[in-house]
Amino acid sequence: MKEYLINGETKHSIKVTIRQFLYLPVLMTVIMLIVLPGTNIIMKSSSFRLMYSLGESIERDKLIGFSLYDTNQIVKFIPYVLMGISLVSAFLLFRFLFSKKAQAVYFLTGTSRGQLFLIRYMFGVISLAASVFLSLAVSVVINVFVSDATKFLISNGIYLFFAMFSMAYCCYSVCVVIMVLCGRGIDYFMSVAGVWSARILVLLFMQNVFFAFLPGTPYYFGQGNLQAGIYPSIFEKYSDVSFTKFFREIFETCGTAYGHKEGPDFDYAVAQFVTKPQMIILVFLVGAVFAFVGWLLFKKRKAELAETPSANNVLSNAVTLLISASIASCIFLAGGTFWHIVLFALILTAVYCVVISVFRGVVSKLYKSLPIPFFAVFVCGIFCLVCYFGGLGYSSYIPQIDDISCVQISYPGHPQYASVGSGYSAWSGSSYYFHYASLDNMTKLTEKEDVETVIDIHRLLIADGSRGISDESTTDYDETAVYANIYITYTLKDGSQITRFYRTLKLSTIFRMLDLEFTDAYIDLFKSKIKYFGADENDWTKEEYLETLLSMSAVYASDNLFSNLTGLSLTDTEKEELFDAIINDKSDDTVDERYRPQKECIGVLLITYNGKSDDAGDPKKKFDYFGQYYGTSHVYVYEDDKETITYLKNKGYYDAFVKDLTVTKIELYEFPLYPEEEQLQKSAYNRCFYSKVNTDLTERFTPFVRELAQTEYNEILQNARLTYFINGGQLVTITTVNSDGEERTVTKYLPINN
Amino acid sequence: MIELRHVSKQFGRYSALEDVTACIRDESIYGLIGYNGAGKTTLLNMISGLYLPNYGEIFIEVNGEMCKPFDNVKVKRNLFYVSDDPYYLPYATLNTTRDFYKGFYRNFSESTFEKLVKLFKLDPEKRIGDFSKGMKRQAAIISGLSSRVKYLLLDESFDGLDPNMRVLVSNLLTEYLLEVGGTIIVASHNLYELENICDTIGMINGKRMAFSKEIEEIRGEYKKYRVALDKKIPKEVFTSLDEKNLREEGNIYTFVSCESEKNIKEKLYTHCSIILFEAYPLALNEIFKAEMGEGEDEYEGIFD
Repeated sequence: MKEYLINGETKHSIKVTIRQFLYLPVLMTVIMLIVLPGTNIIMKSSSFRLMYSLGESIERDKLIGFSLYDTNQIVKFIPYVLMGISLVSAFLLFRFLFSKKAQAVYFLTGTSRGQLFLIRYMFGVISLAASVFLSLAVSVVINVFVSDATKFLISNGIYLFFAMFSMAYCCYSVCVVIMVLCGRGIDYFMSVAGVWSARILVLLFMQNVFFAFLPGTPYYFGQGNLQAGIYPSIFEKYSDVSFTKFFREIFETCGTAYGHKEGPDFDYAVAQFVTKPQMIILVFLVGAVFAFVGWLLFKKRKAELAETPSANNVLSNAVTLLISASIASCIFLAGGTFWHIVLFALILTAVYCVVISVFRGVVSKLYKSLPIPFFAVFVCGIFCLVCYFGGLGYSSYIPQIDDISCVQISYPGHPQYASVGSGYSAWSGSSYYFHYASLDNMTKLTEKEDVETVIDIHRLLIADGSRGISDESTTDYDETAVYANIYITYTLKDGSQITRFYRTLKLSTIFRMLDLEFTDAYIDLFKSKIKYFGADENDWTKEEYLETLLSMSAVYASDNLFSNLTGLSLTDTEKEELFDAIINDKSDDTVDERYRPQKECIGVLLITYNGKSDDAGDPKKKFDYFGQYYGTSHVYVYEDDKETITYLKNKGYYDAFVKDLTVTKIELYEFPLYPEEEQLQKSAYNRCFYSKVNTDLTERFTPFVRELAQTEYNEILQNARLTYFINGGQLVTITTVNSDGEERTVTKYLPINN
Repeated sequence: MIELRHVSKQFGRYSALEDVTACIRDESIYGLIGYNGAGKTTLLNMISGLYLPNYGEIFIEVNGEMCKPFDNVKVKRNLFYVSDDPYYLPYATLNTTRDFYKGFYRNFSESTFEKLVKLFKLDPEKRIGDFSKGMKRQAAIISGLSSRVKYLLLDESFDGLDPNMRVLVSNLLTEYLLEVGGTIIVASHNLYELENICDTIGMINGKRMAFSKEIEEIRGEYKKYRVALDKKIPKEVFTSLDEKNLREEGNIYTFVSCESEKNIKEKLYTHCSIILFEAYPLALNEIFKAEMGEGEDEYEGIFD
């Protein structure tokens, strides 16, 4: 302890440090003043604006609130600003370690290394604390003048000070340790970047490997494209452990509060004061541990490391391998074949060579380092192999049926069938003929029989392997593998959840999955959706929703070639009766009746949500109008839909199903239909065809078109379907002229067995 | 006193110094010589406490106590290291440099500092960064001499100085020893200056300490001989005399040897008669050259 007593040399060293780095706390304070109160004033924080607008609606003396900084935009950057000033502070204060000349002076004059470290380190800590404290203090003072929340301001201000300071302190301590380990500035900055982003790099690598090699893993990087899932990515899954996110949430929550003096919003914000102190203390303690490690390393640091490239081989190699492996693993997004692994090895080695060259400052003698990336490739290869062979049972795991409380599964059918507002033509523009279902419709199945059905499907998905899609030239339709994105989530009786995701599957499996639609749970859902779909998401009661639906919807009827559109004048009660009839008929459908109808439908009911408010009811309006606005449901009526047909007959609308036309031309388009849209063609999403009116196929499919002779018309008209779960058939366009002389072209589907 | 016991230093796989043993007494100027890259600076870095030896030990006597120099505050207070490329604080002037060192060295003399600044004719308010290389070296020497420490280490401190300044610095070091006492270690290639001021010389050759002796002892040991014999004799005869730099012109032989005149004559008489025998004292640079085994360099054809 004797050496740490304040003697003359120590005092002098402190003076020298203060004189040399006085600009540092000043600079940091200026930055924090700009970031916290500065932007709050300059941007006229929306929190302030809300506060004031609230003040206009309630009595001023009942208003209470504050806004220490902008909690909408700037708050997102506060963690990064704190990390930035910590990074720079550590660099400036310990920069002498990177100069042989400078360190000879500081290491050989006056104080011990331990004292020198403490003086410099503490100067940085005090500077960070001062800058955070002063900027928050200014924010508090500004708020005191405009709000009546002084007591809460001070308590939240103190809490925020500790939160911001702990974060900056921890970052700073980590940076100091890295400074002591490195020999050059560039090594330091690259190492800090590597260490700070290590979590992301590891997750990226794992995610990409899982994507290519581990069937069933539910975490994916990309979202919004056909190959990626809608389930949270592995980043999002583990984002709770994110250091920056944790602090950002505190800053967002505690930076502002407004409302009535005893209102819930305000109480909530103020209550955050005591919610996470343990974590903040933990972060501070982690910072202290790093400081201790830094102190030990500093005392033992070899002076000859200064100016030495890649002074710490372990650190530089670890960072380099992390960067190169995560970058190279992106190749697995394109596939997981042997050649992808070869490419991965090449990219990893190349990126390793580039990054390690930057660390070492020379390009020569790289061959001496090659065993390291080779070893990394070997380890990664084993990891890939483990994943490929099921991730130690991960891929093939299915919970015991007795342990399952309920199960949810996404599938490519459409239980929202016929539901107004989300009809299956809603999404599609005029260019698409196939249903693009949202697969996030995951109804809970609890009945043992239903759970068994899902388990059977799960076994098929495991057998399918999720290894990629089939070649375009495949002819075995059932064995063809396509993109799907199927999720299965088991909720176990102990409350835990197990989720599996399958990116590709065989068409035979898709058709098997349609069985799900005929479980009790989905039939109930189907019934509910026709009349109440959207009630929950609009925060309406079912009664409110149905009332609105009945009052605003309009129903039209047409023959199966859309030659004649007739508006049905139905009262609200009659509409509900019609909906009930449809429900009763359609809920008893079999898979084949709904998705592979054997007989031609006799007519179509079109239910539109906006029929009364615009001119959609105009018979002259083209039918495809309905497909492009607000989602019009097409209900295809077949002979066995007894209740619907009886109801229409009783009301005198059945005649609308009678054709009044002459067929003038039929053209046949060979399948495959989307040569330039491979993704759609190879996706399970476009398995469900529905008919469209007056759309031009020739532009896209001219090379495949063949005009049929009149002698073939009858056969085509009998076999063409308005909807079908496609199995590699053909499209036909049927051109008709009705009694009013209106020409119309309808696109239908011709199943392959015809 | 500084004591080096079997000191070795490695940088990774490269061995910079091996098994260096020497004792540097108090009240002396110790000259450290060796060719470029021999390890002089590395040795000074270890003596100063900047580097830690891989093997062996270094002890420095401070107030009667033998201390290891690495990160030792007692040693730091009593040792000033003028490196071959001195560092100054950003925007430093001579005055701010004085203030910097004044706080770390308890015997620092401001009056000595001011006198030296005048003697070297440097502007104490001018930024050292704007000084020439020689002036920067002078500024470092001024700081070192003003600190009045027991151990003053100078690495290539004559480099970059003009002839007058070299003489001045040589005289100042001698004066420092007389007035302040202590031990001065000067690592240099400038053997002429060292010869005039050093009491002891240590030579590093082949990563090892070739010798570490009083300069008078060295002069007594190393002599250049010129002998004329009545006939030619085999070279092996001279090899047995531990000769260095043997030259042969007919029957006349010139060589350097540490053997005594008596031994040489006795060995030569066993083979031939001696017509002429002359012995000359050697300058330090000649000893350096002899010890380093410098042969005749071949220049011909380099610029063809």
